[in-house]
Amino acid sequence: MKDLGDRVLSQIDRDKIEPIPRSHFLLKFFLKWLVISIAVCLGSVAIGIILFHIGHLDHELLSFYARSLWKFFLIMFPLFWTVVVVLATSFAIVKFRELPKGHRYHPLQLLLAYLLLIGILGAGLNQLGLSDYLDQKISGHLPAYESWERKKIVIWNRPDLGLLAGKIFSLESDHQFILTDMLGKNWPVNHSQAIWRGRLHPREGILIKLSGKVEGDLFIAKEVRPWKGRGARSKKSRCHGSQEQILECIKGRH
Amino acid sequence: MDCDQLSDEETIRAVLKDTAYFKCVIDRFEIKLFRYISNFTGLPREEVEDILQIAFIKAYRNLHNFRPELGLSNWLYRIARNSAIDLLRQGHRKREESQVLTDSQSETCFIEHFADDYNLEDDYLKKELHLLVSRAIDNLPDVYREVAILRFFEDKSYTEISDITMKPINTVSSLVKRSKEKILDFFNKVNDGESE
Repeated sequence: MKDLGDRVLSQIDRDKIEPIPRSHFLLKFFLKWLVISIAVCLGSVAIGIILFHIGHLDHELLSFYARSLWKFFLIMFPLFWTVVVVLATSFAIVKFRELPKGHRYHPLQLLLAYLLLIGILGAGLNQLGLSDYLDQKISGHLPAYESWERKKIVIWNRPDLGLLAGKIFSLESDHQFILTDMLGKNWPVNHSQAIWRGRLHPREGILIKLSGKVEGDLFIAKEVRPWKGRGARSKKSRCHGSQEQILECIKGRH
Repeated sequence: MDCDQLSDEETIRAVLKDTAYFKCVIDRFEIKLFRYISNFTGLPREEVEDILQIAFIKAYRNLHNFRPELGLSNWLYRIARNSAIDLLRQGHRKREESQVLTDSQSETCFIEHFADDYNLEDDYLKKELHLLVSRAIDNLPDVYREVAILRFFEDKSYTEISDITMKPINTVSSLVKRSKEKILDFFNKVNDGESE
């Protein structure tokens, strides 16, 4: 033990050992904070879009999907964003614990703090209407990404379950019109007993969603609602422009 | 080179200017670190010295990563601990008969920690204290042993133990509490055996 100091110093001298430059540690420190910041941003966006999806869920659809609820949730579940939240959370916690005093906190404490932070930021994004915007933007850049609009089309394009959506192509009579669905198929729709929601009335070119039943080639509507969101809760059109542009926009993404 | 006049921070600054000052760091901590690593690993003396040499070289290479707020002592304890774990992972075996290394300072520290719960000043216990403490610590599972050594021998606070072991403070707190309970259980068993 007496010569430990001498042994260490002679090894430093012999092997020409030098302290690692300060810049190396500063860079590592900066990169850790960068990863944490990115994880917080991504987590917030993910939470914002998940909240947007949940907030715009058509609860009434549950009754139509009663026999295949799992299918409904499989379609509507924001899997992509849930995976993003899980990954971002893991990265944020691991990198935070690598910070000089990060190890002092229990991973569970960090998890709760992180979820609270991205929850607040995500709710803020959603309130500002940015979740909707980001959902659309990402959908435009990632072809495989299932945006809310695309999911909605899949959910509403189920005539076998009594659900249909599209544009009124022409008014045939007081009780019947032709509807072009989201896949471009024309449906004669009888709406003699239908309830029109959201101050709607039959008019050519409007985008609607219907519930009812199929009888032969005819769709018997029980309820007609505007396509955009859930009536009063829908603040903005997700596809902008004229009705044709909106339909093209929706069809284009489908 | 008057090492005693320099604070930890000043010493590190001095080392960065002149490597010779690193001897001040080694002289200041080698005995404590030797005791800690020896008790933590249960390895023979030569291997503990090798660990310390590796640890001090690592510390020298990472001088710019030293953060005064964590304290030089805790920083070196952490490096030494990590070096010891690396060596243990390479398959180095503990001594056949592990004996906890204590000195009067660490024994006093141990007694103070248990003063409220157990009378370790008792004549019999005082005579046998070294052996008793050694057996009590040896009886602990590894997970408790590490924090018990740091808390009861090295007199480290929960935050310092957290900084050394990289475990969360609340985990350290519960590990210390449970290790104390286990040590007291052991003392009570020994006491019961003696009275019978």
